Amino acid sequence: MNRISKCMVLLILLSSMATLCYAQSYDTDQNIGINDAENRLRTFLSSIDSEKSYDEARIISSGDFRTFSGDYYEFEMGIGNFKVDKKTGEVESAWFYQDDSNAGRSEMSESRSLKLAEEFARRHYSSFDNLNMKLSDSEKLEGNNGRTRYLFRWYDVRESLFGQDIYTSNYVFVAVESGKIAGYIGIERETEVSLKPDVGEKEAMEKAVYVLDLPADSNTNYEYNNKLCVCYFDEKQHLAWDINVDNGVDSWGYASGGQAVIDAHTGEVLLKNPYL
Amino acid sequence: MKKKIILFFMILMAIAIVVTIFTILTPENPAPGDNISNFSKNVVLSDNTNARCYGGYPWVEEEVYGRDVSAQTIHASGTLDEMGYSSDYYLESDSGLMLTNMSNSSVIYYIGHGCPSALCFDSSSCVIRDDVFEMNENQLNELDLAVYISFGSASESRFGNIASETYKKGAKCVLGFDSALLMENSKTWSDYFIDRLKANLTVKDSADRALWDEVLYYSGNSGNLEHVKIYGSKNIRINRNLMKPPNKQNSDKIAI
Repeated sequence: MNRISKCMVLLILLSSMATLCYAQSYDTDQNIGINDAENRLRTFLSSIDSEKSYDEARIISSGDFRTFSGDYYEFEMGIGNFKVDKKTGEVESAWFYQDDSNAGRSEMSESRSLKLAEEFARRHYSSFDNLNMKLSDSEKLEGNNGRTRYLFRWYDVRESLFGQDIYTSNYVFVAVESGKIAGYIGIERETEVSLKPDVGEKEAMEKAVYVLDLPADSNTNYEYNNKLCVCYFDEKQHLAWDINVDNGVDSWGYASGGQAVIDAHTGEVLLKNPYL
Repeated sequence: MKKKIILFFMILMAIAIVVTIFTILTPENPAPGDNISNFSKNVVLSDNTNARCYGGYPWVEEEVYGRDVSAQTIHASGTLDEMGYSSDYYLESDSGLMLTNMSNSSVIYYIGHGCPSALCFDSSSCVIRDDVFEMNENQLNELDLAVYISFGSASESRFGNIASETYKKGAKCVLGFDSALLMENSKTWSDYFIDRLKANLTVKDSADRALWDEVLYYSGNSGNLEHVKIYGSKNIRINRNLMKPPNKQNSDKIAI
């Protein structure tokens, strides 16, 4: 074998090794690699102002988690569970396991818990101040060890040309328990669909009543909670009517009603979700 | 020479002490969510290893209205098998059999129709709070975990609360809901919850994680699953295959 052949073999070997290294660190479809995701998680954890030191926490296991709106690297740690978006590298979901110790904890009012949740959201959801984040829900629940848990949810709400609020797919969900952040979800996606609905709210409501097998009697006093929203089903973005119908309880004592999500462009039923 | 020997033994002892301390402080393969307070509470599972899973919808609702929880029921049963249980699942209505099995099982799982104070396979076949109330004291003391995924299964009503009544009759841990629940969210929550139990999380952490993952899956819509109520030992872990060996004091029981 002459010198040129040897050089070529060496070159091929080196390029194969480089390709392998690249393939290991980068996933397909322009996803970040799992090592990068772990680094992003470490940065997220070290930025959390807490009495606990999270930056040295050990990863017990890692895996994948899929939703309609994106794929995640999932990291299980002794302190909690974390999900990093494969495309953006953002930590979009965090749940911190709650211990049973009440040491250093005291009940916090709803307003102070909201302030804490909002501060956390501003720190970790970079567009919180740039988008029109509207507090859409706040709930008081039973937490761990007799503590109170608050859930707060913000949506990026835009107003359409005809004055209708449109809830985009950008939202923040925060759980606070006795002055500690228990959980965080922060989703930010580009709006790709037209925000002009072709299906009206009334038509969507009628369709919801039909698919939920409720009597189509106009005299029935259903309680509605409707939203025009940008949402994901089957990994596609849709403009949709999210119709929630409550009909109390039926003659058997079962909850009657539920949710139906209707595509606001095509009228297709995206989700039929009656009460259990 | 003598000094050197003493120094050698002192170094040896120091190494032994460091190794001993290190061994004591390093937990063996910690489960997610483990912390000191969890270890301090050794909830003991019963010797009974039966698990019974019920998916309660009459066939008309399944066939005509598309209400089907069979997949979740089968998944729960299969996963409990993998956790060291002898598990069966039932997709037909039989409240009498369920009542019998409640006092002869370690885990009872139910998903389907319900109303405050009752789990209803159909209008004529329900397990109601009074059925449980009429049981003998501690009749359910072999029941380590009861999971009732249905509307109002942990609600206070004029007919009582079936989840709290199950706990009062001796069950170690009972999980129910104080709200109407959306079906698809409930099904997703159920699968996540069972999978987290298999991963050896506590009941409390499994419920929290299932909620958080289900909310992420449904783009912020919780389906009311946040209204979970857990009675009894929230820190119980039920994966028998991942349990530490029994200690001498409780040689006849399994400690977690």
